[in-house]
Amino acid sequence: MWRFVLSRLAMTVPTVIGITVLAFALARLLPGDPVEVMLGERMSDKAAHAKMVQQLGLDQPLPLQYLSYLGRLVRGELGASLVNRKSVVSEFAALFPATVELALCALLISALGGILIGTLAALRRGSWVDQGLMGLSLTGHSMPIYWSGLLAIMFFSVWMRDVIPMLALPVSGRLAVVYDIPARTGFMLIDTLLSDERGAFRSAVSHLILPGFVLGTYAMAIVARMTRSCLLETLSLEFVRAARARGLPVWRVVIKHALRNALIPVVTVIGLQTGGLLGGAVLTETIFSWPGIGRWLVDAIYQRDYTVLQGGILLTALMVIGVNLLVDVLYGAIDPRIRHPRV
Amino acid sequence: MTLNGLSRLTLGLTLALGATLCAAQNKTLVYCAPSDPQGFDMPRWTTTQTIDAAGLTIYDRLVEFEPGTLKLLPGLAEKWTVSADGKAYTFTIRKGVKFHSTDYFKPTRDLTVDDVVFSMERYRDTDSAFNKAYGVSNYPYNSWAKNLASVEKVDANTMRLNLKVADATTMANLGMVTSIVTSLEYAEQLQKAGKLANLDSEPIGTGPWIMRRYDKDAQVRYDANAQYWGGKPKVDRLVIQTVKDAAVRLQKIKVGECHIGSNPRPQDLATIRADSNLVLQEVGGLNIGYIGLNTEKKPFDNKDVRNALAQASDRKAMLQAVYQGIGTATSQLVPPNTLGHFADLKEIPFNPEQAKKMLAAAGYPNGFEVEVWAPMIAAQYNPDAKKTAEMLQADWAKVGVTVKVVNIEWGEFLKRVRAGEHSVALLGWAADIADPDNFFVPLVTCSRPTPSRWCTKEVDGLLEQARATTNNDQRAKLYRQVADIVQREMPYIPIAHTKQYKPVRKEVVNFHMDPLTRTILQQVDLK
Repeated sequence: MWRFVLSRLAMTVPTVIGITVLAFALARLLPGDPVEVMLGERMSDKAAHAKMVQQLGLDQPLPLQYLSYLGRLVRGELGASLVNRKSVVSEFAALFPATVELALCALLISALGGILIGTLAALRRGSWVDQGLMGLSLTGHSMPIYWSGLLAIMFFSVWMRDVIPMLALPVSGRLAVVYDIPARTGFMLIDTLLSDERGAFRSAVSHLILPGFVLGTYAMAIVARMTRSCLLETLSLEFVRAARARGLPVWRVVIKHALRNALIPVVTVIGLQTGGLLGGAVLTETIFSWPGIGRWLVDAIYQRDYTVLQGGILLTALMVIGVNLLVDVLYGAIDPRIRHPRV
Repeated sequence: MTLNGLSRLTLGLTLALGATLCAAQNKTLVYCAPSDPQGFDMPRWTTTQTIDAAGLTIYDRLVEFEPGTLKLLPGLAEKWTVSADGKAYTFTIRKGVKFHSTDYFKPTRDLTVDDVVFSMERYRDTDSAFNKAYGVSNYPYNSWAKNLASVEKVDANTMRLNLKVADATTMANLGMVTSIVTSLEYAEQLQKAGKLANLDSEPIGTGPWIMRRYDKDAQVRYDANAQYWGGKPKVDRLVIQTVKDAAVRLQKIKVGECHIGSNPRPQDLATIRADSNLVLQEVGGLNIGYIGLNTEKKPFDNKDVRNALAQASDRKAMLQAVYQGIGTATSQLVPPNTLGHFADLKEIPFNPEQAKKMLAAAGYPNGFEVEVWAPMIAAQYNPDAKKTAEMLQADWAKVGVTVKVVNIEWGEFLKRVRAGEHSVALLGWAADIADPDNFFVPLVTCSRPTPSRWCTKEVDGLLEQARATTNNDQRAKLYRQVADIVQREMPYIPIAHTKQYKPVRKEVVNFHMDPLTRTILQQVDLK
């Protein structure tokens, strides 16, 4: 098992190097420069513009800039934002927990919902239940988040407040303003549990529901379809027929035997979704005012904040690589055929 | 022992009264802003959100614009005098002003002249440590300080600003939101700890609100400054929440999660007006949206061509389609209710027939081809530049001018326009202070690159004369000459000045829109 893990780790090294080159190059391919964007319509004189460019080190040749960037990386520094001069690492650390919290919530919803829908659809294959569930999940996947998010707000926050106020959900944010909770871990669910403010945890949960659900429905369709097709394939195998022939109840056959085998590829799909979710759900973060990494990186693109782009992309890529590595390991743990070389 | 009916009633009333008192004692005002503040060291930044979150909450200035008007009032300076030659400004500093006490700084003294001298010096002296604290030139937005010859402490209560040349905009510049006063004691503490850059993340001021916490991309939380020299704010806490999407901001204010909103979309104004829980406040903004003509490129080096195109542009139609009621038509650069705006300046007519004749007389009977550049940004002075460009395309086609609309990303647009690569660019300007100098200098001066590349020594001379006098009547005469010349030469075709709007919950009292588009919350209360 260790050899398997080490081999996977070794494969990530060239990936990370490639990402540093890509992040550096892509940032500089953007038209315009940070100083122009900072000064905006002010159109300062050439001397002032040149001075700022020089102070930010942007007048250096590109290879030198890249080497300087690599040198800082080796020392564990990701530099400071060109715009506000704050450390990239500290900004990432401040925003990362919010992204993880939202991603995990969305993942839970998409995994549980997707597996449930896929299982029901497989068991009712060909029926209106099957077609209805698959159609519903596809609708969730196809709807643009900026539309489904706004619809969700209008229904669950605004309309519900007039109809059943108790069930109304907050419009946006992570916590009601009446609660002043310092960020001990950055994970609002944990910070509110650690605080002594009554009702804060409940407020944190209620703020997480809508964005988690909206983001989760997007991935749910993929999980549902994968679960359905894998379960159908497993249910047709002989061991399942044998179990049924022995008189085992249907639910036991499906859940204890068939689903366990069918979920192996589903775990991979869920893992892949995790990487995407952690990479930043920009639209969800914008609609629900969720202070995460996605929005931070998009702002950096608009502002031509090269340091944030380089550092943010690298850190996000490392997260995605880490999650995929974990999925590979988990996959290997579940299915021994994966971790042993073929004879 | 059980409670009898009277005891139960008494207990219930007491609890209810207690709850009401608690609610009254912990009033929290929530303002929903469209983006995060860039930082908290005000002179470094200029976005409206940074002004709202830092400049107007945490800091004070020597002088302040009266809320809702453009009149200057005493701030940290109780009174001031200006020398006869207009080059020396002497201020008496207010006594008993307290700096904020926070987790990261405990002041040991009140505001003194030394704090004011320090604050002004860090704008003037580009070699100061505080100018280098962030690794780049830090104070591009206090460029007025380039005219400071020296900053002088006269005595324990008085300081003087000595200018290189007389400049009538000095007082307005000192009232500009970026001209803050901060604590010398705090700055020295930071300098000793080698953490000068913390001025931008852990601010200390004398303003009505004390910053308690900043959660990036989420909120800034403040406590009311009970010792504020101008009177404690009416509410106990302020939260400025970042809500980037305009549609979501509308929903938040509808359900009461915000008390004051910002930047509503033009298409939402009717919805806000129809909501009985909301009041839509508005004020004319200090801005101008225009069509910029590059006078260094043919045929825009010909003023007759420029004037012809101005008459070919249906700006009223643009007001309807693009501005959707949030703009006011204009034929000049300076907005109404500001010195430098002249109600009797002639209107630019919309007359395509006349425009065609003018083009023919200028040597373009068959028109010509041109690119119109529209940036990909919804600016306060033009909510949809691409649509504006498309309307121009249709208008100018009627006089034989073939337009190619080019939609360019904002950063690239600024770079290329600054380099003068454009022929026609849709842009605008939002002023920092309510002074015509802040309109004319960025747009029609020879001292810096402008989108039109147009300037004359005559106009520069008139602007310099206007800066040199504090007599507003005299200044008005000089600016009138400038306005006449600019309209005659037409380097810019003005489109509109836009209004600024804010939806406000009906339970909010004492909130008023400000012509400088400041969000002033000190007097705001909740009923």
